[in-house]
Amino acid sequence: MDAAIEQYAPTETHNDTPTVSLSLPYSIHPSCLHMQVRSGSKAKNLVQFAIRKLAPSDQNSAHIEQITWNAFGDGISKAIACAEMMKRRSTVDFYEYVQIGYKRIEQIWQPVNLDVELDTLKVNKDIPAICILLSKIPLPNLTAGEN
Amino acid sequence: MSEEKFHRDPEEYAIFKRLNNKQFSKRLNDVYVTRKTNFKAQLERCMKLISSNGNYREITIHGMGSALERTINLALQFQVKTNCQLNTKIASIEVTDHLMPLLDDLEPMNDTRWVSTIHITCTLPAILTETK
Repeated sequence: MDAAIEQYAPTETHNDTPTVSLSLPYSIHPSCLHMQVRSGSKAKNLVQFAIRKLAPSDQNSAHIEQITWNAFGDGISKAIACAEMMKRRSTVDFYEYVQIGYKRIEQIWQPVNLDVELDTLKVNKDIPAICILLSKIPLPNLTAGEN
Repeated sequence: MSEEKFHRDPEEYAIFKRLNNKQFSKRLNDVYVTRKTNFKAQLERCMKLISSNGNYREITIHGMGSALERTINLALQFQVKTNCQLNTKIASIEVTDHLMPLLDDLEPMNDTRWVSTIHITCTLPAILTETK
């Protein structure tokens, strides 16, 4: 098994839905701002951008009521940090909902050595992902409705 | 971002990271995820808590900092096994770093920073608990 993996090298990664967040149980306001957090992005820049969008200076831009912070894999801790920073820094009280789930990533592994006859492998990876919804509009209580 | 980032020289200060233990809940059905514990062992512990000898209807999985990804993974694996409902909350706690000087002419310092935490409550579906 260990010897076999050396015969392969990952070539391309298929990211079916690079931007779409996890499905939330709420209907999302049309003005919702979707933030994609990667492990390399600077939390400061993201939060500054989001806060500027939330409190627009000119009247023409649309008023934003909801924000989602989406991340998978390494970016998860950064997304939570961003959401927490946002809550701490803005004066508005947010309603919050957090959804976690798996995000599937497809990877194609090609054989390194062309002399040996090997098939191309398709690898499916399930990576933990998170979606944090911060809303100025009150969210209906899900647990109360089910009882 | 008004506060300027403080850069410490590893030759001048030794860092002691401290966590105030009082701010954590210590119920029996709390599971704390660390990066050092074996993942399977953590999952086994969760399963034990809801099985007959533990007999809890819900457990809470906590994680912080770099263990967040692991925590989410654990909760999702637990959901796959037990088909429970997840209720996720995020928060952040303040931690203190004590900086001990290694050179004589420096003063000891304290540094506080925020660490994000996650708390996932896993509730078993009602039908399963009634038949127990």
